[in-house]
Amino acid sequence: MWKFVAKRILALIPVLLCVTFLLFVVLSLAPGDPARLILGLEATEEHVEQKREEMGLNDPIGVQYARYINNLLKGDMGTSYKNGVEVSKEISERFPFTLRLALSGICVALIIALPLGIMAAVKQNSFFDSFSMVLALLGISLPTFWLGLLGILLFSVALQWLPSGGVGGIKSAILPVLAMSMSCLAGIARTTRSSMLEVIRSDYIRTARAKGLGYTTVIVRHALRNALIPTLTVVGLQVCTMISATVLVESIFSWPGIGRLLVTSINDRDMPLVLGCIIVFTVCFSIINLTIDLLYGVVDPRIKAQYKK
Amino acid sequence: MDKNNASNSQVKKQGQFLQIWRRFKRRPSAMIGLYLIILFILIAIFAGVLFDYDAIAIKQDIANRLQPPSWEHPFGTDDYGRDILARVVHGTRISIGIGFAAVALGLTIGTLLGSSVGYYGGLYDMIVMRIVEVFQAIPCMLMAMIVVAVAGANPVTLAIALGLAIIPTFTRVARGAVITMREMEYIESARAIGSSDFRIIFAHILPNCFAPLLVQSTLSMAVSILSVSGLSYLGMGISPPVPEWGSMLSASRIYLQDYSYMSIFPGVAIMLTILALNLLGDGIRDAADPKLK
Amino acid sequence: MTMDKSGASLLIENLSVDYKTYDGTANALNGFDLSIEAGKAHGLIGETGAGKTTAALAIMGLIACPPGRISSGSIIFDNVNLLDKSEKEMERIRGKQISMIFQDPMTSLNPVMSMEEQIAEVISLHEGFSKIQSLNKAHEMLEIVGIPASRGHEYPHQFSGGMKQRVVIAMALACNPQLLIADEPTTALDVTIQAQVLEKIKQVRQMYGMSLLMITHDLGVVAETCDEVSIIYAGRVVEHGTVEDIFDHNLHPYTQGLFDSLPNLKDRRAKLRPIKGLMPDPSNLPVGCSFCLRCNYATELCYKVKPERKYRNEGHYVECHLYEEPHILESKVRNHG
Repeated sequence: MWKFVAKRILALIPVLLCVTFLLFVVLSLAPGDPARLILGLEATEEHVEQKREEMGLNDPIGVQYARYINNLLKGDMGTSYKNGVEVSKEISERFPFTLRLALSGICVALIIALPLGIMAAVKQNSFFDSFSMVLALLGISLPTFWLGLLGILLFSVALQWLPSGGVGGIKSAILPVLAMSMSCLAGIARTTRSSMLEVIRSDYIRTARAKGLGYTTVIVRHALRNALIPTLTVVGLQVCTMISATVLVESIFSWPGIGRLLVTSINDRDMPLVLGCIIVFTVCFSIINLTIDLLYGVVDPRIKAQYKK
Repeated sequence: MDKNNASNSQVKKQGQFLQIWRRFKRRPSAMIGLYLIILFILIAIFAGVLFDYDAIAIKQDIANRLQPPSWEHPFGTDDYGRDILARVVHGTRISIGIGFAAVALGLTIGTLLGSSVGYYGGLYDMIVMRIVEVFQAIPCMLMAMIVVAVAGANPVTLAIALGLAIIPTFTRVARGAVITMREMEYIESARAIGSSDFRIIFAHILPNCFAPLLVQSTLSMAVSILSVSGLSYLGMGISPPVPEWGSMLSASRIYLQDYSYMSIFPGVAIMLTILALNLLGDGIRDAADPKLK
Repeated sequence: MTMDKSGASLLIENLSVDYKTYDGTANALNGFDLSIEAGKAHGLIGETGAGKTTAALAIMGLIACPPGRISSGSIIFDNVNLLDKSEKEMERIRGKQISMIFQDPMTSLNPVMSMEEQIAEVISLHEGFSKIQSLNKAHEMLEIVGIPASRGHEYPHQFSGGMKQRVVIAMALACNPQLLIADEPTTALDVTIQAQVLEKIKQVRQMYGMSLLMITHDLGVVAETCDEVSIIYAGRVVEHGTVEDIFDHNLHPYTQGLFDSLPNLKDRRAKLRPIKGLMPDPSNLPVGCSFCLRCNYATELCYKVKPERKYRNEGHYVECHLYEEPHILESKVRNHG
């Protein structure tokens, strides 16, 4: 089992290298001369050229990339074009905020969505089912940023219960976390419901009932675990979507995380910062996918057997 | 006998479409989704007829700024005095337009790639799918942001960026459907009478993969429209004065306290469009595979 | 070696079950009758869609209502009407007094639970044993059906179809049921495995002495395992008798059609004689005899009036207009005499 984990982690490395190389190349195609961006418009041509040599911008792209990776492994992600701050410092300062937001969002989403989906499937076509599925449908149709705006409108402006932005205590975290979790909650609830429905219809559930097991026992002991398997895939995808929603949520609520940093750095055309942020995101996605794959092994013994080989 | 099989698949196709349509019609939510989408498409097409673009949606009228909803201006006016209803209507054109373009791109390339990969399999399959998996993990919006960072933000780059971002999903759907179909017997028959691979894929397999691809199209269009408005909200998409729903919401942020109506209507427009697309997608999915409800 | 518990009797009278669907009401069972004496094996033969599985599910109380509905009749098991029982009472009966094995072993077992767990579950549910005791009993059951107990911790996907079905049988018999319902237990299996599974069923019947309801479309299986036979068509029993009655003296045109459809092993060049047509749509049954549209001997009367039951001897009856008591041997239908 651990061999499998190690193999998967190792397999991540070429993938990450490819992706980062592509990103590096793509971003280097951005218009604008970094040297000039740093020195300003008034600098002379020679000064700019000198700066370019200094920064190694005239080297072939492969060399530049190799240099970048080399530095990256030492923990150096370059310096911001805009204000000369070290990228790694910026990122490491802001990452914990995003992490807090993301983890809370996932927890809230799972705690609400999973039971909701299961109950809706068990009580199919009841009022509870129809009602919660209508809510879920609205949930996936609401743009996250609008939900955030409406949240601010209701709770900050109208009711004055919660602050409209910034960090500082539980109160300021409620709206952002809710907005985050909403972005994936509805999708998870719907998928849980449909995979539960499919499982409930299967032959082995009929066998379980023919054994004399009560309905609740059948659902909990037999149906749930089987329904979780396809749900896991969707949970993984939804979590990735939620993480990319940080760019919106953090901007709306002035939350000092990586998402907001990415937005500002793109607007400033600050490439090292952009690259740094996206690499962080990509690593997060890879870790999420790996976790989901491992969870498959936990839930489904067939897959566990495959992994063991 | 084999020719019979091959032409039987044509008959099967037509009967299938009719069956799916009939089941679709039975569900009121699906029909609502369909009507709403048609309504939005019509609004998008006739936006210019309803409200003149330059005179009403763009032209500033400072005297009339920040008027709450009234008979004259059902959605009110914005901070430049422009009629919000007119701007929302024109925004439909942009959102639906970019959405369609992105889906057209993603659908075409994704289906071509996915069906060839699914049909031929082997090393080709493995390599392409590994690459696709890598890109699949990057959500639409981030993909689009990267492209915007490099190529700037305008409807064309956005459509291309989103189209590229949704190719992996379509590839997977097409591949999955083709893999299921290629084992069917009428494909064996078609091959036995000497049909070329091309003909088999296009005349026999793809028409039967219609439903999952259509469902995915509605979902991907929803994601594209959400991404465009999200990006515009952040200032990385369509920029003012073009009336895009997301950028309108962004502009309304500072007026949230006193002129909250500005934040409502563009958001409702987005929500209704996405809702309609989801209802449509759900309806097609249920109609094509009725045992799952 | 017989266990102290022996089989119980089952008496189904005039059972009617229908299902509400989008396209109308499907009458799955129409006045269905069945009688199994304690300890006997009864075969229920019919085509797909005749109502066999519906009958089995009705006995188990597993018909989903809605969209199903039991509109009339009674199911008397061991002198108690099962239709009067509450869900909780039925749960106590299922798996303990009446067990069922289903058709497709590939999908009848929970893929994420080990075999021994699935057997132990029914034991600890009904007998109240501790976990260890239940597992031990489960291992015993595995040995009885010919699977080494050491393989008990493995999962369904690691077993072949025949072995899976044997585990299903083990699960069904774990609590010494008085009635075993086998719904096409060998249809999904290879012929050689079929023989093994049927042999097992016969063995455990001898061991436990339980009653058996064998549902199948395969005449050979019935000949192997059953004492009495009922032929079901469109939700009703159209002919009933002992195995000898049905195999040597069959009367109903449908029954004869079933036997005629068997390939003639002696004359390899003889043409196959299938029964023309298809089973009628359960939501649109004919007014008269349900078989009239496919019958080679149908008369005017057959299309208009439902046939009554005619007895050839005490156990053997048929529902057909072509026969008149007591001249039942003189009929227009070809007989085997």
